[in-house]
Amino acid sequence: MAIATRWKPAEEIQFSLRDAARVGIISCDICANFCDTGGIKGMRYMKSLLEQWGKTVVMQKCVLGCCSEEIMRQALRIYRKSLLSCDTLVVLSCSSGIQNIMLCDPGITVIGALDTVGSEVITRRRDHPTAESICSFCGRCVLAYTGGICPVERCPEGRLYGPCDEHPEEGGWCIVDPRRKCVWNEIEARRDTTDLQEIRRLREEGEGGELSGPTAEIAPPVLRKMLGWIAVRLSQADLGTFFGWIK
Amino acid sequence: MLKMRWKTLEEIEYSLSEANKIAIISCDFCANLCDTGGRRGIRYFSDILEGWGKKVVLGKSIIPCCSEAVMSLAFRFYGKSLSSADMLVVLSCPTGLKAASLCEPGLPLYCPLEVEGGVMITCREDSILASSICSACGHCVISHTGGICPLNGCPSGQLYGPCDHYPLRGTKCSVDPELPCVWKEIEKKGDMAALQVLKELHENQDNARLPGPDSPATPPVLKKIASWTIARISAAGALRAFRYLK
Repeated sequence: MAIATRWKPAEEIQFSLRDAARVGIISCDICANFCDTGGIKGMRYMKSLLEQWGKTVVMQKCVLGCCSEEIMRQALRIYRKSLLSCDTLVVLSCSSGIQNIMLCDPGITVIGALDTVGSEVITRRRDHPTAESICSFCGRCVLAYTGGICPVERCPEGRLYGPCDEHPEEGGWCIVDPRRKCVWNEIEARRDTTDLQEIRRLREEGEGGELSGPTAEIAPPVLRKMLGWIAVRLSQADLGTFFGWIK
Repeated sequence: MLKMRWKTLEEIEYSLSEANKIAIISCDFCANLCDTGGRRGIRYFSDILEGWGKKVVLGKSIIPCCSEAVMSLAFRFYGKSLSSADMLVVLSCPTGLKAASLCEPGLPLYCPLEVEGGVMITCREDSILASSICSACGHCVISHTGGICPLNGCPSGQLYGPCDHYPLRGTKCSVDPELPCVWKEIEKKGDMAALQVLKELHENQDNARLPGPDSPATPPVLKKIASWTIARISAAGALRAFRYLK
């Protein structure tokens, strides 16, 4: 769930908003809320910035799940009046949330203020390589064999199945980027990594396709609408702040 | 939400070859919406495991698996079943497996799923936006392309404008003729001049990201109350209804 988002530079947001005068903010209460780029906190931060830049903020709303078409349709319907007085909508959510709002077409310019950088664990711990790690969706996950440490992110050579040939001694520094310690030493300290060679072989020689999973099922429209409506009402009741506390 | 797919049968079978008693903890959010988790995902995977002669000692969902606080509560709720297992399968994105490994459950972990990227929750298939998958490039330009992600539709991976082989006539991509050139569509809906400015802004290393608001730690009591409530409600299956959003 926690798609990691980061703020764009001020210069870029200002450029995107160069023609905007009356701005509305829609902020996501799920993933972006956990990253402090959305939720109430991110929304207030964005509002004060916009006011510094001389814009009028005419609407600011949190939505529980900006990436759901059904929720967004209900939200745009419920906030229709306030939306009419905006000329631009600033969205604090991951790129899927921005695309979703565009798909639902609020009839005004939609600008995203965040960049999506991957997915991360919802935690405040900073004492463990896994806690700080960001998944970049490589699609060839080996975490089960590396004690939860992602080599794609932390090995500058991008080795997935074992260290490079210049692999340093235990506790040594990376050959490619001497500012960091070799992640493969850390991985090998946690786990025996011999299985990774077999995983590599299976993937390279593999003929078997991916499992297809159960057949997809689409919910009846009434149920979808109801859930969308409930989600918007719950976000109005500030459920997002409660969610944010689990970090 | 994150879109996921299953790994290959061979790889999963190899990874679970030494496990006999397997516990499954699944995420009722993203994985549930992708049918790679939730009640349907658990049932599907349990059938496969039982077909291999393994015993499934636990099959429960929780929201969200990627939270360390919620995951550690799941370990507390299901401690008994987990202690009789020799492997824990996390049916969530690999970030869920990371959260589980932070909690140090004391048994080997495995995740049979791969993440493809971020997608929107919709059952529409008639829009290029609805089928777009975000690869988290970190330099988002969709505010100026009418929402179309060029990285998702352009095989040459151009972010700020078409490649040199851009088709002058017709709309066929010159790298992969089976695809339409995504830039034809972006030219109609987007702002090509703005993309050039964005290119300069992104190349300028001095433009640091906004620092964001201060983020003081939640008081431990509140954190406990919130994570316990969310973990309990989701363990009871009440949030499973999320799947009906799709």
